[in-house]
Amino acid sequence: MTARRLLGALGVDPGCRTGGAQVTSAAVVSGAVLVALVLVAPSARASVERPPSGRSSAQAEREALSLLHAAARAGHDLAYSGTQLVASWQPERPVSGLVDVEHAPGRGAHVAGGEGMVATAALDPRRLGLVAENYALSVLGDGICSGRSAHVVEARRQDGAVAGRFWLDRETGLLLRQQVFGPDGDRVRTSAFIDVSVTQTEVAPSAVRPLPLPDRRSVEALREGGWPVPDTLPGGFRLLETSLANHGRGQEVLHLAYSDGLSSLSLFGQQGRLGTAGMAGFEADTVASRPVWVQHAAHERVVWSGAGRVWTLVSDASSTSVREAVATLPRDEPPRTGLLSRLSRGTARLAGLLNPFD
Amino acid sequence: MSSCLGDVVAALVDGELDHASREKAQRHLAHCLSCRAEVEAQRRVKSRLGIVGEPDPSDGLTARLLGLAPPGPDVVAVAPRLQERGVRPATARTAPGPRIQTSRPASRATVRSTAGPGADARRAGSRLQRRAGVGSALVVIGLGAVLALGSPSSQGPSTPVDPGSDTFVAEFVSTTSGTTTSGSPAGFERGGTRSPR
Repeated sequence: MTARRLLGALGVDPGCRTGGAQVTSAAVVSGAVLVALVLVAPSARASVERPPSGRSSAQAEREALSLLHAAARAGHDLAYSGTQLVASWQPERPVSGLVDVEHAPGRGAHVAGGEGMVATAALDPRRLGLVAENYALSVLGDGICSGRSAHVVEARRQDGAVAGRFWLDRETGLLLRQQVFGPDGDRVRTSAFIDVSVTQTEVAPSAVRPLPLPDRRSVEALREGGWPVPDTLPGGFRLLETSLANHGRGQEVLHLAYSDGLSSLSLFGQQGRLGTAGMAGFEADTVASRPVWVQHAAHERVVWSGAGRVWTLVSDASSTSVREAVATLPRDEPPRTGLLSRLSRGTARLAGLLNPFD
Repeated sequence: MSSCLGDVVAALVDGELDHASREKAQRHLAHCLSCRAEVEAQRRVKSRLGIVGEPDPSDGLTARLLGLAPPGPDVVAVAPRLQERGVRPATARTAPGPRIQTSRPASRATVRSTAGPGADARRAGSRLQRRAGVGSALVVIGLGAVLALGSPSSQGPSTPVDPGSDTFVAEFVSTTSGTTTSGSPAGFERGGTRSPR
């Protein structure tokens, strides 16, 4: 591992080229990470050699999508291991970590460390469909990352702003590096192999099939049970998974998993209400004039109450996208303090207490 | 003393026998000396019991009972009888009318006794005031309870939950990356391997 390679993975150095002094200390690596995080401008610079123009956008899109599908297959079928540098740019401070990734075909990937950071070694085939649906894809050019030659695929929003970039290994197709940008162009997160070794290069062409989307009957059953289950959320987020698990003591927890192809969003619902003592580690905030609790860590977490339930949203998307999603979900109004409001609220609660059929 | 008629003697003395039974009993008495003596004895007892008057409660008991009773028409009606019985009258702020004083301390057992149409109106007004006071107190208590329940810091009857644990983050990471994570909270482990770093 080299410091130059590390800085290159973060986008500081033009290209993930090898060379320079050997760095073996994790402390030195962490220092380089921090320096890079401070110095890196929130731009979409990339170490890319642009290909000759002249191809149509449809052709470029098909070519880019084909490379991404090949990367999904490679991430599923190859045996590989390495270390990823993962960083996210939260509104208050950047968060970074090193994640050891070890993948074996048929057994999935195992990650360790990273302070809860998400390693993006394998692309989810379902998310590729959403990437193609929500963004304009193109092959930006060639690049080098972790000493390996790579294709660079770029995803742009409808307004032309860069939404994400993928570095895909030319030899194996493996995803080496990924950058994600928010709607305002700010960097949201990045992950890059700073050291990777592939031990199996045979890729079965039909090994990966798109995972099934949520069963409509289970979604309807959840809705009939009183759970709000939006099919989509603002920003092109689409429902991918649902589950209703029992966490003991009769506490059911609903989990709805969404993705826009580049970022993920999980919504958890619990029956009950928030306590009055506040939430340790969270800050009181408002979203569209409604009270919420927010925590900025490796992932943004927003907690609020609405419709007799407590909702927790965890996401690696930009804060702008998270707030747009929260604004569309059921939320309680802020408590009004007027005498009439208090009398009305008290009467309703007293009636609820005295109602023998409640 | 025993008689041939037994319980019929008492029924005859009390006049509780029907005509036929009474005729039969009287025919028996005509020739039975012992039964006739029994009947005469019971009639004497009954006659003596009949002239004994109804016992009255003692003056002290009466005064204590009146001290427990709220002022009202019954007290007014009883008051002359008490005076006749020599119970000392109590101090009264209204006149004319009997004043009654019980043997209890004046601070606890003073009985207001009034008479006349003006006094009745005042008593009715006093009852109304008392009821209005009780009603006002109930309204105030009810409003206080409703306002307390309606406080923004007060919560409804649902169960409080704690969403602050990192369990949801671990589930998010597992769902997003499709990987297993060392040290992730229990209950959210997906397929794959787990090993310490």
